Amino acid sequence: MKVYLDNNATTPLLPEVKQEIIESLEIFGNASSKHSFGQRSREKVENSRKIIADYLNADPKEIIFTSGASEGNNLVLKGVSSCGTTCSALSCKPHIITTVIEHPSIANTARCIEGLGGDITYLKVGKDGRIDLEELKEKIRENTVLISVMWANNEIGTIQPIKDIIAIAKEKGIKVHTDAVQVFGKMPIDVKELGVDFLTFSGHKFNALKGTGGLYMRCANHICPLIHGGHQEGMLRAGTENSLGIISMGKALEINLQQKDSKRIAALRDDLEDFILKNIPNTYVNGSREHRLYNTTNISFEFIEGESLLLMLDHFGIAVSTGSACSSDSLEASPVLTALGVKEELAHSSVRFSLGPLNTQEEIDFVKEKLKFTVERLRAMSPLYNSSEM
Amino acid sequence: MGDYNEKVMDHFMNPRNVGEIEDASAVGEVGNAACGDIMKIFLKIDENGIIQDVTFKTFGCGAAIATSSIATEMIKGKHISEARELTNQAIVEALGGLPKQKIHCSVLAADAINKALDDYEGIHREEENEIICQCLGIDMKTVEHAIAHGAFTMEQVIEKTGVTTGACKGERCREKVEKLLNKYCSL
Ligand SMILES: Cc1ncc(COP(=O)(O)O)c(C=O)c1O
Ligand code: FES
Repeated sequence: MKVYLDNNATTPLLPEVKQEIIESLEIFGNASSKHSFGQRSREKVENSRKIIADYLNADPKEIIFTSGASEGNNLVLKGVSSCGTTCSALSCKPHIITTVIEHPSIANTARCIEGLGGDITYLKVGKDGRIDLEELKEKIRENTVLISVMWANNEIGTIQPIKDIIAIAKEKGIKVHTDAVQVFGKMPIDVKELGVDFLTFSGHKFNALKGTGGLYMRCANHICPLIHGGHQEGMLRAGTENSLGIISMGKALEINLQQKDSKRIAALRDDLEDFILKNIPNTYVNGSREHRLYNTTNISFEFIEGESLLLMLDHFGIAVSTGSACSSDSLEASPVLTALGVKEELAHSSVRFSLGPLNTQEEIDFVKEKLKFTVERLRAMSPLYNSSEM
Repeated sequence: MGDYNEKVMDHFMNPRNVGEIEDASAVGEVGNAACGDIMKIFLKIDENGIIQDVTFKTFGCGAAIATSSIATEMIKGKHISEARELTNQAIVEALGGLPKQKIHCSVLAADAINKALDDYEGIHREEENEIICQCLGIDMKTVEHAIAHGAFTMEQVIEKTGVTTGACKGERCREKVEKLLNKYCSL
């Protein structure tokens, strides 16, 4: 049996999306061309834009397609830093507030802006993975141009109090961006009700293609583009549209399987988590369990190292992920987990399970069995296991 | 897992000589949980200095478990003087190669065996932690830690630790850092 529990990393294409892509393969016209070939592409692209705008309760004009969320996040942070005057970056020494648990596409962009002379404040998070609204209020300055806080974290699933953040920002007239990659397609989003200025999303996290995504930008806002060129996307993102990618997003969102299936996915996640906590001793959930994506659980299995668990589960056909040391090129413990105050050794012991609409109860039962076996096997090899007092 | 070859995977999935030896002649432990690796080696040595039995317990990634496993195989039945000579390069070669960022696991395995042999021979080494960069007072531990955490070139070690940027511009320390880099990264 093959079980894919790494949906926060990327998701499989839904069969209907696959079909739609195949059928659209022959629509090759350039969406900017006036002839019928071009207009067919334009229609498809605009149809997707409409579906996405409807989902967000936005105007289609407010949707800018990009190559994914990394680009969207770069576009917002760098575009806002140029302060809306010219594209000569940082003409006004901008101050941006973000958090210590952002995705690298925010964190490293923020570092780049710092290098160019901008000021960045990184808000701390508590043990539950959430920012402190009082700290946010204190950190706002005269020259704060943007608050960028991810709506839900990819590693631990923690959901930030985004409405409260926006309320605080509005009072001071500061714009708000949220990296909504992990929320988009999982729950309803109403940008009007939220009052958010910028929101990024990524196709491959909601059963559409990779290398495609977008940005919601409220009409009244202005930013400088990252990619200059033709007139596409309101001159905010030049380049012939990735029409297939855009079509795949429209189709995936039209079906919106994740959101429709959320109750079932949540029940599967809870079932797996409850099993682990009850049947495998010395296991701990990282981050808030209350304010959390319904498909995610991040658990530390004390006494064993995350990569070895990932590897052995992979051998059984089960795909999970780890922010732990050995999994990535850098051998440091996950910065997100250390930011929560998780002890380094427990951060090294963590594994993320992220479910999706294609998972079944049968799969989860299989995972439970293999997981218990694998943890016991690795613990039997661990010098920490016997010596520790249980 | 794309990164590991079949032999590494075999030693990870079916590790040899796992466990403890109750009446061990010697035990050696290296690493710490905060860094993500601990290796503990148990030796049973007879009166002729032959390693009759050897077992391990390891907390760590796939490579840490595989290197422990193969290292125990490589010294079983050998004289302690031969075991002393086991290098991390030999371990990596026996495994048919390791991803670069996992080479430090092989260093740990060789160190664990040496530590167990020290225990057997009653050698109490002061923690070897000489100052590498005298201008800036940067010690060996700091440099080793940087290498084990992904600084694989001279430039990266310099960036992470600051070695060679002191008053003598590295005249006194560059060579020592290169030696350490070779120990970890020559493969
Ligand atoms: C929270 C978050 N933001 C941004 C990204 C980057 O998205 P993309 O792969 O589309 O660049 C990801 C996924 O990798 C993510 O999880
Ligand atoms: S000893 Fe390192 S710079 Fe002089």
